[in-house]
Amino acid sequence: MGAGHTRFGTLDAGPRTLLRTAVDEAFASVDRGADRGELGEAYLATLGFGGWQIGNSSALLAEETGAVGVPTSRIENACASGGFALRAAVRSLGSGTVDLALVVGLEKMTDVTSARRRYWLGVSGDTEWERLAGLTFAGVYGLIASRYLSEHHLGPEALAEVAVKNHANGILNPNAHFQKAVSREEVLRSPRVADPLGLYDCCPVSDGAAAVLLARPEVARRFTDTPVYVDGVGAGSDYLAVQERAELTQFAAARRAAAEAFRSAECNRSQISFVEAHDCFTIAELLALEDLGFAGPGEAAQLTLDGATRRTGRLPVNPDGGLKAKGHPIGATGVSQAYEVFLQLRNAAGPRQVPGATRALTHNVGGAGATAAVTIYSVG
Amino acid sequence: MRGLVRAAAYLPASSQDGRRVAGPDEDAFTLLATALERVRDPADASPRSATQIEVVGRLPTTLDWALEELCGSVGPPHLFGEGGPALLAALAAAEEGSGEEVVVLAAELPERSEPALATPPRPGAGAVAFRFCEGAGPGLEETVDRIRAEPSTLGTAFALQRALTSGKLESWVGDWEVDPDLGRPIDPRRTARRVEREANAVSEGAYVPRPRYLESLPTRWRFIGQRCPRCSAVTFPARGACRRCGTRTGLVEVALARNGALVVATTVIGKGGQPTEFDPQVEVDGPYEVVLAEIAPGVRVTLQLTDADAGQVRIGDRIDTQLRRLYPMEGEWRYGRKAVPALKA
Repeated sequence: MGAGHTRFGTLDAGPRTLLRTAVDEAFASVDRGADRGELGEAYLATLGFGGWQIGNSSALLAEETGAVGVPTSRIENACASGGFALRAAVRSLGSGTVDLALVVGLEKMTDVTSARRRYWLGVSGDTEWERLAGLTFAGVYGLIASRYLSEHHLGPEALAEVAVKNHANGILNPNAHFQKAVSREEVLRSPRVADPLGLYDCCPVSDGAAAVLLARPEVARRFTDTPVYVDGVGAGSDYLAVQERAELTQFAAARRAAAEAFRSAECNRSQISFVEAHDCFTIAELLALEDLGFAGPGEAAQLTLDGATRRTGRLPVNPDGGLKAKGHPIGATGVSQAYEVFLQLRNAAGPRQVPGATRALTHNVGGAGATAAVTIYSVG
Repeated sequence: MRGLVRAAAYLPASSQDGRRVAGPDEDAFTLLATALERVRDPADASPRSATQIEVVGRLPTTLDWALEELCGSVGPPHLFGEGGPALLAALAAAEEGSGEEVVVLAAELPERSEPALATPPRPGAGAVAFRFCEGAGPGLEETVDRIRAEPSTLGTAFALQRALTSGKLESWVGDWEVDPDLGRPIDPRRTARRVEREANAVSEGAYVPRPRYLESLPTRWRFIGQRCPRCSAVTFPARGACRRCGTRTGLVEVALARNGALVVATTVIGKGGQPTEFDPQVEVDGPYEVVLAEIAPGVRVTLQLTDADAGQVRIGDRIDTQLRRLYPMEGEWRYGRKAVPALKA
């Protein structure tokens, strides 16, 4: 019914302000208006970065929404918190006991010391093996990228192209953390963080919040003439440590989530107008295209180099800039993807509009694939 | 009467002025552990093989616990004091010993095992291990002669020759101290409360509390996995159930290979890519490599590479593993295995 979004980036605003801003914008965006008193359920997606309010943080969401008393919960699956919160809301509505639900994703990441920030960036990975070997998520994705490039006899150009493309999209998104172009050479020459991944292969650390309002389909037309429908939701999980997984270059959790989402949405890949993929690192967007079934093993690289995933390509991926350029406030990311879908499917995305978009998919991954949620939407 | 079946020396990879020096992640325990592993087959690391260990050196009382954990068995080691006479006494005792097998360990160490990265390591590190078994192999005297004449057992010859040459005996065994402000060998008998008081702020990173660390040692130090009695699949790290078929009873502990693992993925961590607890390492030593290696079919482990340049090991290469210091936490050293380039390709 409605969606709101703060600027993503290094912001002065604190977490309460970010919550309030996104929620207010979501309510204001409802065509015929929605009464906060009608809310039956609210979910806060957040990691609780920096430890500012780890427990019971969803109570703050009720406070800042002006809906104290409404049942509210925090959903935490690291970077996939938003996707799972959305899924929880869909299921609440499906129970028939709730007419209107609010989902807000939030993370405030830039106001802590550098050491504390890097500590918190690692809390969602496997501690006992990966962390003790000296890996953060960049390192884990570095391992995966090395394997992917080696298995498919590829150079790093396709990885760089993901960054180039998403930066180009970010220029057109006024909420994006980065709104400037990068060249393939700049990406390839950037300092190595976790070889073969360089600094420009990594998404930034950002503050931000995003909110969406969902209603039961039966009551949707009370709020708007152009509702965006959630046609299918899927989710999955995997071993936390990559070393325990059967496959290194695919995420079983995402594959399971995609299969379930397509099954419940009763549609096929060719009907998807564009994809919001979880590109925390450039390699992740290539894996996403393959896990979602848009490309076979190793084929996402060529698809990307051919320009098929550009905003004007055959299958636009991350028209809002993705995590790479738009930014990645952990808990906000999955909800931000739904926000972009809301704009695009209602033909309200302005200069970055994907022409004729009628159906979209969001792909939200926790950490290095331990959890994943996939959602398919259409406009009615 | 028993005989010497194997003798092996371990000398650190790095050197300074022609003398071997312990790396920043090595100390008396890791040197001894590596020498010990050179003379014992990995299969001997199965939980209940009886081994008597004689140790030469002025070493902390926590060593017996650590060695027991490393071997998965054995009683407290005999400590034989320091120097050449102690070594000869230990070797003689081993020859006459009563255990199924007797291992003599002796370490040659820097004057002080430096805490990781604090100061350059001092020269003169190394460790040697001798393994005696009932009715097998030559006796000590014969062995000493043979080792002297056999240049291919260079490390052992080096150590034995030095041990048997009077005048140099005093420098043979060093002590084992670490800066109490940074870390110390773990002592499982210390209470959690005491640890808490002594906890320092070296790491704001992954917090692995000592009970969880202790619980993980069979897996971490000895690569103990579980073989399923029904489908034979190996589960590693050990969990409560077979990862393939879910069987929960009758899982058999198996020691997986600690050497010769195939590298299946690799990354070089540069500045900014490391967890905070590895900040000092990156500051001093620069980037480091982390590999994912297959230690058994379908069984992989994530290991940091040591004794090699970052980027040196590639996918398809083989690595061996050694016990090393990881980083200090709760006021003591946390140890685990790291990868080194394989001796045999």
